[in-house]
Amino acid sequence: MLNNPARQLYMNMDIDNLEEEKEVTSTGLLSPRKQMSNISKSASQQPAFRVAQHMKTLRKQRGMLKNGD
Amino acid sequence: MAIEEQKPLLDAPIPGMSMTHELGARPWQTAAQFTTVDEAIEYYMSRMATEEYMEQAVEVLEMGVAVTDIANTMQMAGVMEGKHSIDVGMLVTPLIMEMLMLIGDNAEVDYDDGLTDEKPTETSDAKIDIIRREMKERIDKVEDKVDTVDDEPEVEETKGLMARRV
Repeated sequence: MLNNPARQLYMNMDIDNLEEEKEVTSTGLLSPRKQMSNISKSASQQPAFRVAQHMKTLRKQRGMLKNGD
Repeated sequence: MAIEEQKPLLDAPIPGMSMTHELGARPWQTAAQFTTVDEAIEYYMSRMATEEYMEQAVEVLEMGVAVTDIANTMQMAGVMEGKHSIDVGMLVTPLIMEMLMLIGDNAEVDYDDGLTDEKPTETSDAKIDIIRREMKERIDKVEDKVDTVDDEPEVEETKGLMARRV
C-alpha cells in the first residue's frame, strides 16, 4: 500500500523539460483571434504547470545557493 | 529475497469509525477554504516563509526526517483542517518539498530528501552476514553458559532445623 505519494508526485514533475509558452503575435486586421477553446487547452492554464513554474523558480534559487552565487 | 517487516494486523480503522460524527461536522467534510491551487500555494508559501517556521523545519530536517514525509504530513494536515481538498494537496506537495529543500540548503543541513528507494528489493549479502555473525555469537554465549553451569559442583542445601548456618 502506498502511504506517502510525495516521492512519486515530485518525480513526475518534469521541470527540466518545462516549455515556456510562446505567444504568436498576429498583426493583421484579418488575423484569426484566439479561440476560447484554445485558451482553456493551453498548458499554462493547467494547475500542474503553474506549480511546476513555481518549483522551477525555487530550484533556480537552490542552484544559486549551491553554486555560491 | 528481502526480509519484510511484520506489520500489525489490526492497525486499521474500525468499521463504522467514520460515522461516529454527524456528516459535515468534521472540517474535511465541509467546503474547502482554498479551492484553487494558486490559493493553496499562497497559503503554504506565506506560512513557510516565516522565520519561526524555518527554524522548526531546520530542526526537523536535522533530526533526519525525510522531506517527503514532512511535505505529505503538511498537506494532509491542510486537508484535515479543511484548508483545501485532497487533489489540491496532491498538486501542491512537490512545491512544498522544493521549498523545504530550499530551507535545508539555505541552513546547510544534510537532509534526507526521501527520493531514493526506501526499501532495497534484495537483502544485501553484508546484511545477511552481520545477522549470521550476531546469531552465531548468541549461540556461542548460550553454549558457554551451559558449560559453566555443568562444571560447577552442586551444593546440597540443608533444610533441617539443626543444620549449620552459612
